[in-house]
Amino acid sequence: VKEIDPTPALPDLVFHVLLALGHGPSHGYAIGQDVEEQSGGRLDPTTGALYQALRRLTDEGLVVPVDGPGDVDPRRKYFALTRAGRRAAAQEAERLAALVRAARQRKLYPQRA
Amino acid sequence: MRMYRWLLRLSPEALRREYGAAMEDMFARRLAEARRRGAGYVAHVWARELAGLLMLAVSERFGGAARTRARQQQRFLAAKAGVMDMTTQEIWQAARRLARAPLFTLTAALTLALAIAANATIFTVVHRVVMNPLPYPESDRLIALDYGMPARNVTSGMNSMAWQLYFHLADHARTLQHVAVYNSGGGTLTGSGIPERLQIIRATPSLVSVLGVQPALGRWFIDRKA
Repeated sequence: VKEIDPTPALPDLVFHVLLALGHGPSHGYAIGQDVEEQSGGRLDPTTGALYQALRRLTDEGLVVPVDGPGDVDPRRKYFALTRAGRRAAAQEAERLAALVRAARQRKLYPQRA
Repeated sequence: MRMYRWLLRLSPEALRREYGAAMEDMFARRLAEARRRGAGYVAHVWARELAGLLMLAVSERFGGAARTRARQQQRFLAAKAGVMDMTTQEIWQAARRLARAPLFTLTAALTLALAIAANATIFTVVHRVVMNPLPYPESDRLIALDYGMPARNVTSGMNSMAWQLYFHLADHARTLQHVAVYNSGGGTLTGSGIPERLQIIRATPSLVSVLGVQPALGRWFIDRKA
């Protein structure tokens, strides 16, 4: 029996935010749009919910505020992934991939073409 | 925008201080996008964002400490605790949190009570009048008369009627087409054979005209014979 990974699953919104920052630094509005797009419209966080998540991620050291390009509205805040953030995203992706593998083994999901 | 800035006060202070301006910027862009799509979208964005800020206020006020504790407990207990254990724990946690914030609890309870009462009242009317009306023609025009006795400080609830009042209403009431009085009870029929318990309704002859129905069997009595 495989040891259960003690790291709890990342909340859905958190993983999507980390995913949105995978391309590089981004700001709230763009992150929100990416989250909605990647989740197929299932997640569409309000401004408050998104910034609360970003603040928590910042507190946990997964995300860090960075300077944006010089020519944008100074109110706009940019965020980037930290090394820990990348690791957390990778761990979550691995967890999901393991589930997909299990689903394949049990013929619940199409085999890779 | 000023309105949103004002509403941002609902959000936790630390969040507002750090990201208030960025949140305004993001909201402004969402609003601009909604404006391009139409008035309905603008209202939707406003409603959603306002609800989001309210949720944030509640979750920040009561969620933070509980979340940390729940996460720690979950790590220790998730493997062995059953669903019921976790549920019981969560209920206890919620109760303790509510007890620690009596003002919030009271406000929330009152809000819920008012909302439930309003809903129940509306549903009662809808249920009786629309979904499940009384089995009489034009039953939405039937009303029950209710009396009070202001001199005794009784505002309502006296639904019995003296015969003098009945005749007064029957002769003089202009807003009522017919008035009837009835009183239900039981009686025992004796005299021939085995006594039988009967359900009895004493009513004025006008009852059939008020209800707009005729007896299924036999003939209704008329005023003269009453």
